[in-house]
Amino acid sequence: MEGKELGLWRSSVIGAIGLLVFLSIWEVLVRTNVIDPFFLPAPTQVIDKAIQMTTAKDAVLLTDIKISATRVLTGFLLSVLVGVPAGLIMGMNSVVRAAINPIISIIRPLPALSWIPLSMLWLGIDEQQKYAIVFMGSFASILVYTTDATMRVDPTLRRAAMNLGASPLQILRYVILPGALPDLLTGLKVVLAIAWTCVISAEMVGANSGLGFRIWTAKEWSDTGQVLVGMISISVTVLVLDILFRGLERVLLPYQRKTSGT
Amino acid sequence: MKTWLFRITSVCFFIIFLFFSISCTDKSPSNQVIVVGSQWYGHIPVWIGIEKGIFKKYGFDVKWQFIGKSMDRLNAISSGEAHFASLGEIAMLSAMAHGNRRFYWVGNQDIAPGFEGLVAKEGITSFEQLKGKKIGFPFGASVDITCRLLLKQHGLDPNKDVRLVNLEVGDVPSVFQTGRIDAAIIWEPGFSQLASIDGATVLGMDTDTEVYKKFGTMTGPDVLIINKAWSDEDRLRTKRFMKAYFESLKWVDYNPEEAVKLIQGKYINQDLSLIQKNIEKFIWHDIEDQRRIMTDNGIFGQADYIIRILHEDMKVIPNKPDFRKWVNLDILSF
Repeated sequence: MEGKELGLWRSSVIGAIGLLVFLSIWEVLVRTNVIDPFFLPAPTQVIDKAIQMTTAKDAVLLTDIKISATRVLTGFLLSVLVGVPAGLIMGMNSVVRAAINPIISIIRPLPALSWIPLSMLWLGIDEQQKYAIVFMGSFASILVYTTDATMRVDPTLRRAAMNLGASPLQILRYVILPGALPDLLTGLKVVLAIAWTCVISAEMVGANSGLGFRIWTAKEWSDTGQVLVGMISISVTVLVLDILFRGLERVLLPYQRKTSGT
Repeated sequence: MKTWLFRITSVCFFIIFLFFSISCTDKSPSNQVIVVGSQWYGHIPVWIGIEKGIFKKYGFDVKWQFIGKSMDRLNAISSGEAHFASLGEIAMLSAMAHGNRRFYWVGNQDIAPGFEGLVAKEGITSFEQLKGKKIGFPFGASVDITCRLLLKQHGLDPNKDVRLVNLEVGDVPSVFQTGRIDAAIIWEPGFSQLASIDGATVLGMDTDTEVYKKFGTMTGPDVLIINKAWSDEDRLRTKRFMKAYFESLKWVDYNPEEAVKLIQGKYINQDLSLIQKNIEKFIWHDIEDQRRIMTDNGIFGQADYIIRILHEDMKVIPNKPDFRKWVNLDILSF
């Protein structure tokens, strides 16, 4: 079977079996007290907790998912708005690239968590601060992905377009953007997941809502079930966003679908 | 066997192996004791035990590790990586309500009311003026309850009339100073920082709450917990350790000025005179006091009261735990 592609249906069934086996083992280990339920509640207990958090009067879970998703998408879109054009310019112009690269090298390794003290001083504890942390955590990565994607576009194509008399804007529109888009979208997909880790950091302090807030507060009250519900909610939300992103990829890159045959 | 079936089976075996290795991690007996704590004065007996060589005298190599939050300390004890800690009673009660049976409650080493208070920024001088304002503090700590009790006592609904903001302990003074929040509630050493800011007003203290008036304690008194497995492994060793701890506590009680000089700068970054002034307000509970304190007429009555608040009013714990099942006073050599 090595090397052969499994069909969508088959791989889904195998995936579902794998998940079911994993959950069953987990459930049995907790039920037989091999694992202390305080450390890791059984899947059924986690599901109960999730139902409780979804059906309660104030339905905190859905509200938290909505709030965190809004924070992630706002910060992420701001990063895209700034990072993508800047990355395109850096990818096309070596002087700009040389000037900005050292600054990006300093910013990029900084985890979102390290921005919290300064962002609280500069922006306070309201929504702007949360957007800023997501922005700071994702901007540099978007910039680097865009620069790399731009630089990977075949230079022969660029030169050919120039010889044919294309203006810089036309080169950007008809050569660079279509050439860089596949790598760029892959990069954005990775950064979107990173943005979620940023929002969890942002909601650790100065927040009253959101999945990060819920996880950290649950920890303070020793509620491991709620911690797990929060974590799984992040995974599911990222998964849904990933599926949406794939859909966007199919719309923007129809030629890729045809060539890859998937 | 089909390759995919082989892969799934391998993954399953790996997961089982992982779970077993986690639950069977070797915790070999040793005389090294990991004690976890913060910069709070309630940890002074441990620091003195280390500095004065009292633990060493009893054959223990005590390692001090800083963990700022009570619940994090409790988790370290529960994991078995730390053995002994002092922490806030509220974290302990929450863990009990969620079924954590990995520790014993072995004492209440001090009573120190008057160390946490609600401070408002310039222009706010009464509780009424707090309506619609932001109050910052670390959620889930003793100040969470103190704040709610104070607000209720002054006719304010903590969930509707004000906006409560979750902050890290260390961030409270700086966020308050920048004016991003209108009031804050925190314990020492942060409280002194808040109170000393120009124009700030102390609106209420933990001593103003119904808990203090009823029981004479702060809302979340200090409690001592010990890892259950470590304690059960060698009960004589545990008794010896507790004896050493309370000997240190007695030394602090009799020599407060010298104790402060030994710890200032190394364990607490506060002015010497301020620590000395604060430490005078401490009432230390000796090993002999524990039989009197750890009773229904002592701290147990207060714990029952706090559990009711946590379960019925705040709805943050799922049940009312029978905390007496966690109490172990046998390991204290009376």
